[in-house]
Amino acid sequence: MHSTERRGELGGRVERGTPWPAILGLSTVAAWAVTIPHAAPPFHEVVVFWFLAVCPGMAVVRVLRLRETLSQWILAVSLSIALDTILAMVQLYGRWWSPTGGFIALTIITLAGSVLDTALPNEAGEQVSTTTLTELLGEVRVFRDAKSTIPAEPPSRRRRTGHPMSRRWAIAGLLPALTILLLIGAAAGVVPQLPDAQTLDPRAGLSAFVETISGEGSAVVGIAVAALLGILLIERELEMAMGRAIPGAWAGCRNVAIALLIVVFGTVIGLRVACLASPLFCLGGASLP
Amino acid sequence: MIGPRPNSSSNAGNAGSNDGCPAVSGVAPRPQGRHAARWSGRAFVANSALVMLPLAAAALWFASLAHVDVSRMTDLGLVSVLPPSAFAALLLLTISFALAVQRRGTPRLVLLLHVVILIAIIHATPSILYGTLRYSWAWRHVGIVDYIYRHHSVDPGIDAYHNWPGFFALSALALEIAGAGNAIGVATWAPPVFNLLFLGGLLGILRSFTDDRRLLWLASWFFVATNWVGQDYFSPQAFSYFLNLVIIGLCLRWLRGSFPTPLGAVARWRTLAPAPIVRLVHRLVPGPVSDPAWGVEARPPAERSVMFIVAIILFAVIVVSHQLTPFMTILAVTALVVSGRCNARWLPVLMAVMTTTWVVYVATAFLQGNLSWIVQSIFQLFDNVSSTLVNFSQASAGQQFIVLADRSLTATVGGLAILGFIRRLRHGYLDTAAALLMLAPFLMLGGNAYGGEIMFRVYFFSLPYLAFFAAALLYPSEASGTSWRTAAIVVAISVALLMGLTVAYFGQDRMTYFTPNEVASAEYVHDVAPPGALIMDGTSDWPQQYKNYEMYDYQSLVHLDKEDRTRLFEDPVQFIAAIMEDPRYSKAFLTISRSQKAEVDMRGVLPFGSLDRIEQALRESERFQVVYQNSDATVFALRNSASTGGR
Repeated sequence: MHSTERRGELGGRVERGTPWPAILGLSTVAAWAVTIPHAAPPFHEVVVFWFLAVCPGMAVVRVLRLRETLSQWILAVSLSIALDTILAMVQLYGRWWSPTGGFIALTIITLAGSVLDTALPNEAGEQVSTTTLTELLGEVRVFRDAKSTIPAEPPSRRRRTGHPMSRRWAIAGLLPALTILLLIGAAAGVVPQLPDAQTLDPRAGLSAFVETISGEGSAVVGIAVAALLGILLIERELEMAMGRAIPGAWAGCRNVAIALLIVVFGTVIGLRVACLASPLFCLGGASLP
Repeated sequence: MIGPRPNSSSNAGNAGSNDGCPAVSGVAPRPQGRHAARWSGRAFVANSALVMLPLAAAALWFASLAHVDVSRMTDLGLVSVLPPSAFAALLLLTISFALAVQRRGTPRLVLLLHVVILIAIIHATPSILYGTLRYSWAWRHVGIVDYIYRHHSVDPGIDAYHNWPGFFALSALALEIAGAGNAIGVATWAPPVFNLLFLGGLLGILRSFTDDRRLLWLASWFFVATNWVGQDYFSPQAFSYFLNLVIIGLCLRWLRGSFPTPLGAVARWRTLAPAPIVRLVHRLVPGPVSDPAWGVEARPPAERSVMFIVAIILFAVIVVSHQLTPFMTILAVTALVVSGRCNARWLPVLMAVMTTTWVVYVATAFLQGNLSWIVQSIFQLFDNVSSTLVNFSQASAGQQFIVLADRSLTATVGGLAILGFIRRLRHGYLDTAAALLMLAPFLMLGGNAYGGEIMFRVYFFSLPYLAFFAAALLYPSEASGTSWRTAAIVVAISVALLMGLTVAYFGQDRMTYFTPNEVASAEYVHDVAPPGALIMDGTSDWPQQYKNYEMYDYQSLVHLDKEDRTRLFEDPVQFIAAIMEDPRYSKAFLTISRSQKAEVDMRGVLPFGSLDRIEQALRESERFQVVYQNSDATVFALRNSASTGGR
């Protein structure tokens, strides 16, 4: 593997020229090859763990075009194990446990990331002819609007890439969300077809999940409030990060909604904890299991 | 004066700085092409020597392990059987590191090599030398993975692990994809792997504090040399700790900011503080002070947005994996937001919502069973701290020495950090972010005793920043610490810390190490015990609960209350037989092993020699028979197996 290096903007070592798409592709093939039943060579676990611990995250991180090797590796490993864990949790609580399905989902993420990595302009400004996808993702409204607020990039960087950096980040920003959707979709759609799927009924899995996380009706309200509050907080934070100002009326409404939801969430949580502490505090006289 | 510092050394906002080793005043900037120059002439010889020395140290260390007989370990643990050549290897590595870090122009890879070899020496040694999985808790974690592996689900009513199954679900999925039968092999090598991950996360944080290559690598070295708390084994806390470091690194580097906050009042401290304090501070800090992170440029919006989402994803994994780490992360991020060092102002709120939702709605079974003591321990600062500081008056002399060593090591790194903070202030740097991150975990002391471990965890989460300030004592600024005397001091301090580490980290290995014979006895019990069996032991310090653990009931003699203990020691045969004859159990086994006896001797959890006396009594009794034994463990069952008809 040939790699040349130069210095990054913040003093970190920058990698250039490492053929990551090829490495990711080969790692994927190797991981599948060593997991063929009755054909597992020695150290096959190392190959699989390498794939699980590095490849899915690296596929996402490569799209970010991080300029420092250390940041790239830290994020690749942490994102990989995060994606693996999310996938495992979705399967665990959704009663869709299927290692093969999980392996397929992670493989799709890795290969999709590798394709995007190849399609996006590289450090030298060379671009493969899949601009349509790049343009499509780059023109997502929120990121397109943000483009105007980005501080001017060093001219050298702009020349080198020949492409606004924000577009790469826009695509990379969508990847985690797409990844999670892909994981869920893969679990719902692919897993039932696999021989090692434990439960073939996704609806049963969903109801089991709801049953697991709620236990009784009021919990659904609490979780819904938490989800809504989370979405509003993320939206607000992203708006701040993007440096965009949304219309004043909507901003005011949203702030009021956040404040109200925090109060409601606190109340619901307080009631829940009180009910756990003593049945006397349980609404409707129904104690928790 | 607090404010932007001209020509600040921090890399936080200085795009375009050099390779992390900026020119020192009075030192000419390095010429272009220095990378090539490093590997030519004298530089080549020096760099080659700095590569060969750590490799030689590693070779010496691992060669010296060939002569180690772990069965002869005393109460001082592994240190008691290490030959002098092993310590010589550590000394050689330390000297080499001090030379490498002191010498400007040492390639990063060479410095990295030293720290990686230190990690290998400290954390891979048990894996190589023992060949079995260390720590009984790690065996239990293997058991949780085994449960998910077999059931593909969790049962939150079994124990707390099932309420935070993220790490175990990941392990089960990975093992199943890899076609591995169990997690024991992976778990055996977890400590060195986790420590390498910690190093990566740590470097990500430290780079936000300083550009000084020497400070950065010495802090990493100190981190490894003072991480004695043993939270790096196959566990969700080690897994979550790494993610915690990455999130803090993201906040400091990608979500960074500098905006006025209430803490900005610190800038006006002179007008608020009494005159004597002002004079005292002026004596300590004669010159102007600035925060290196103040006034940094925010990252581009798209980068911040993506990294914000990544931080949320990583935090979600922490939330589903471990009980304590989410709170530590929230405290750390809150500290950064409140001090104006992180622009994601709503991130702590979002994290709190995620954590609360999981704890209250998913970990309900745990919360319901433990709510009372959780509530009771809130604000019980003294009780929470004292629960960690166990009374070791019953412990053996060797164990008391170990405790003294780990407390001394903790106090030393704390003292070095305080002095380093002051020295850095005197050189004009107010590292607000590092200081707040160092102090934030201490707030948890008022929140929970965490099973008597809260002090260890607080130390663990503060350690990256303690190590940073401890290193800053030697390299407070880029212009200081340039003489070789500093290198000598680095060697002296490192040797002291490493001596403390080897004693504190390996000090309990006589009981945390399990011989192959002990593992064989555990395999026997778990293989022959039918579902519904009772598996008893003297203490829980043996390889237990690693397989089919939900099928059995486990009891330890050490957990008996005072009254039952009295009855046990009065007539062990009658007392134990009464428990094992309980018709609720399909069969019952009692295992007494070398490691259990070691724990009794070392920690005094039962009277000294009591397990030997119990074992002798059972051997002489006609009511018990030995169903399995080897030189390190004995397994008893009732002779006529009357209890077998229970189910």
